[in-house]
Amino acid sequence: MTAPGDVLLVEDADVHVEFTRLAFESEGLADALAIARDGEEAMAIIADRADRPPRLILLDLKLPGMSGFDVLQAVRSHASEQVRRTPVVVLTTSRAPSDVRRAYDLNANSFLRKPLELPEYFELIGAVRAWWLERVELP
Amino acid sequence: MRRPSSLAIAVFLGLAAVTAIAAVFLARQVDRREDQLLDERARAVVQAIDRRIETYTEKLFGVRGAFSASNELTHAEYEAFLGTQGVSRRYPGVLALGYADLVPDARRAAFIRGVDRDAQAAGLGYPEFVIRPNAQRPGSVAITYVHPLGPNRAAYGLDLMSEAARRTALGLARDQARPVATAPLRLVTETTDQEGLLVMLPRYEGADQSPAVGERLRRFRGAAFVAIRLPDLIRSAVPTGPGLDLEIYDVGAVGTVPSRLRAGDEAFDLRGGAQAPGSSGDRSRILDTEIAGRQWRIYYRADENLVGGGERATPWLIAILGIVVAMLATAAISFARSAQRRAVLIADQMTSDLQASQTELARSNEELERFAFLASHDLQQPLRTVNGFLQLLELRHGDELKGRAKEYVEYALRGTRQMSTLIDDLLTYSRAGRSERAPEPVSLDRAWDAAVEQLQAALEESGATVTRGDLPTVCADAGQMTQLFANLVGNGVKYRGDAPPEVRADARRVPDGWEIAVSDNGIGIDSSDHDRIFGMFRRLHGDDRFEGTGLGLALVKRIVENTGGRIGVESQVGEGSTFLITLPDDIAQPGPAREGEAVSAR
Repeated sequence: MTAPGDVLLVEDADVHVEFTRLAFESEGLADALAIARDGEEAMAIIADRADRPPRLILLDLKLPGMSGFDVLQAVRSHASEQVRRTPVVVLTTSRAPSDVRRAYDLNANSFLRKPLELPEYFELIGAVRAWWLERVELP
Repeated sequence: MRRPSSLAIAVFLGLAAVTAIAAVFLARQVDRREDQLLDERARAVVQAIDRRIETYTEKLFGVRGAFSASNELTHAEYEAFLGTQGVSRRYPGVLALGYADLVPDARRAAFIRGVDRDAQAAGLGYPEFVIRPNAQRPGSVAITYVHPLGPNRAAYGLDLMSEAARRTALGLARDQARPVATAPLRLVTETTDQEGLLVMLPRYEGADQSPAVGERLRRFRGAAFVAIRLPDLIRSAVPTGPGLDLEIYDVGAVGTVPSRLRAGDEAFDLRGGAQAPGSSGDRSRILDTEIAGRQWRIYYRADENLVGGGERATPWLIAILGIVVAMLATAAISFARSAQRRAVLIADQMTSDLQASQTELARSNEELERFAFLASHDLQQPLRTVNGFLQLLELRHGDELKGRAKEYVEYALRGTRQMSTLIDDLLTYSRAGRSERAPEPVSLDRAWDAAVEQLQAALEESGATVTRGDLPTVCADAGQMTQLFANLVGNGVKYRGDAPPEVRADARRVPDGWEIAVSDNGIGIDSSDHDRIFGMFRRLHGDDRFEGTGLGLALVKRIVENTGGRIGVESQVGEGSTFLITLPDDIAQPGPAREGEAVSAR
C-alpha cells in the first residue's frame, strides 16, 4: 500500500526522529519514511521527487533555518499542484494557541501535540499514517 | 548657597525698612531732645548772665542810695559800706564797684583837693587823686571811689567821659535815668587791661533819682558803676565744658536793629569767626537779650553731644539689631524654603524613582514572563530527548539492563515526567499573563463543565461529586476560565479529607459584579496561610502527600487578575475551603435570568 518515501518526516530532534522511525519500523513500514532534518532538506527532497511527491508530510514547527511555518508555506505555494495538495500534519510540542491558529491559517491539515510517552507516540503515528494514507480519499 | 527666595527678600526688606524707620524716628527723637537740651542750656546761659548783671546792677542802686543819703560820703564810709559785702567773693566777675563824680568845672581844684583829703583821711591807701587822662578837660565824671582799691588803683581818678564807650553809656544812663552798660571795653586795672564792661547808674541831685527828662542833665551829679570782667562773669554763670562754645556779641544800644553778626563786632570769648547757625545738625543757638540797655547776641554752640552716648547710640543699636533680626529671619525663611524645596525635590525624586522602578518592575515582569515562556519552551526539547531515550532504553532494551539498572532508569523517567509537568505549568502560567485573544463573552456554565470534563478521569477515580448553580456569562478568555475552574476543582479533589471530595460552584450578584464561590470539603487552609497560597511555588505540604508544582493557585490568581477581578479564600483547617472570585461588573455579562433577580440588559 505504501511506497518508499510516501511519508516525509521533517524533524530535527533526534528523539522524535527515532520515535517516528521506530513507530514505522514496528509496523514493518520502515521504507515508507523519508527523513529531512531541516526545512531546506525537506524542500530538496520534494524537489528531487517531483515525479512522485510524498503522500503525507509530518512537520515539526521548531526547525533550524526555515521554520515549520516556512516549509508549510513553501509546500502550499509549490509549483506542483500535487505537492500543494499534500496533507501536512503539524506535529509539535508547542501548545501555543497562536501556533495552532497560524498553522491552520497556512492550511495545515492537522495540528497534533507530540505525546511524551512512547506508547502514545507510536499510537498517534500509527493512527495518522493509517488515516491519511489508507482512509482519506484525496484528489 | 541657593539664591534666597522672593519671600525671604521681601521679609528682609520689610524688616529692614521697619528697622530703618524706627532708627530714623529714634534718631530724630534724639535730635529733637538734643535741640531741646540745647535750647534749654542756651536759655539758661542767657538767664544766668542776665541775672548776674541784674544783681550787680541792683547793687548800684545801693551804692547810689548811699551817696544820695549822705551827700558827702567819705571814703571810709564807702569802704565800710562795701567792705563787709565781700564784693569780689560774692559777686564773681565784678572787678570793681565804685562811684564817679561829676567834676564841677568852676571849682575843679577845690573838688580835687576835697576828694584827695578825704581819701587820705580814710587811710585806705588811696593814691593822690588825679583826674585822668586829661586833668583839665571840662565836664569830667571822674572815679572818686572804688572798691576794692588794690587792683583798681589805676582806675582811681579815671574820667569816664574821656573815652567813647564809657561816655556813650554814661550819656545814655544820664539821659534815661537808668542803668546802662557800656559796649565791651578794656577795663583799666593795675595789672593788665581786662576785657569787660561797665554798668553805670546815674545819680541826680536831690531825692528824686528819676527826674523829668528836661531836668536830668542839669541835676546829674555822678554815677555808681560796676566793672565786670566778662570772662569771669561767664565762667561763673555758665558751667562751661570743653565742648561748649559761647560767644557774646554786643550788638549795640537798645533800639539798634540787630543785624547779622559781623566779624568786627565786639565779642567776648570769641572763637574765630561766627558760623552761620541753623544749618541741619548744627548744635548752635543764637539768642538776643538786653543787658542794661544794650542788646547782646549770644551765640551758643555745643561741640559735644548733649544727649548721652547710650541714648545717642540707641538708634544705631536698634538699626543693627533690626538688621541682624532681618538677616536671621531671612536666613530662617531661606532655610525653611530651601528645606521645603529640598523636601519637594526629594519627594519628586522618590515619585519618579518609584515610577521608574514600577516601569522597570513591569518591564522586568514582562521579560521574566517572556523568559519563562521561552525557557520552558526550550527546556522541553532536551527534556523530551532525555525522556524519550530513557523510554526507549526501558522498552526496547529493558532485558539487557542488569541489577538495579532498570530501577535507575525508572527514577530518571519519574524525574523527567515531573519536570515536564513543571514546564507545562510554567508555560500555562506565563501564557496566562499574555492573553492572546481579546476578551469575549464566556459562559461560565460552559467553562465549568469543560473543566469538569477535563478532569473526568481523576474525578471518577476519587469518587468526587462536582455540582454547580447557575453561573453568569462574563467577558473573558474562555480557555483561561476553563483552566481557572479546572485548577480549583483539581485542588478540591487533590487536597481532600477523609470523606469523598465534594466541589460546588455558585454565583451571586455583588455591587461591583459577580462573585463566584467555589467550595470544597477538603482539608482546609489555616488562616495564617491564606495570603501565601496564591504565591508561586508556595506549597504548604511536602511532596510526599500531594503531587504538584505549586503553581495551581498562582495561576488561578493570575487569570482572575488578568480578567480584572480579585480572588480570596475563606477556610479553616478541617472545614473545607471556599474560593471567592469577584469578576467586575463592567466586564461581567448577566447570567441566566433567575427568579426575583433583575437582569441588566447589556
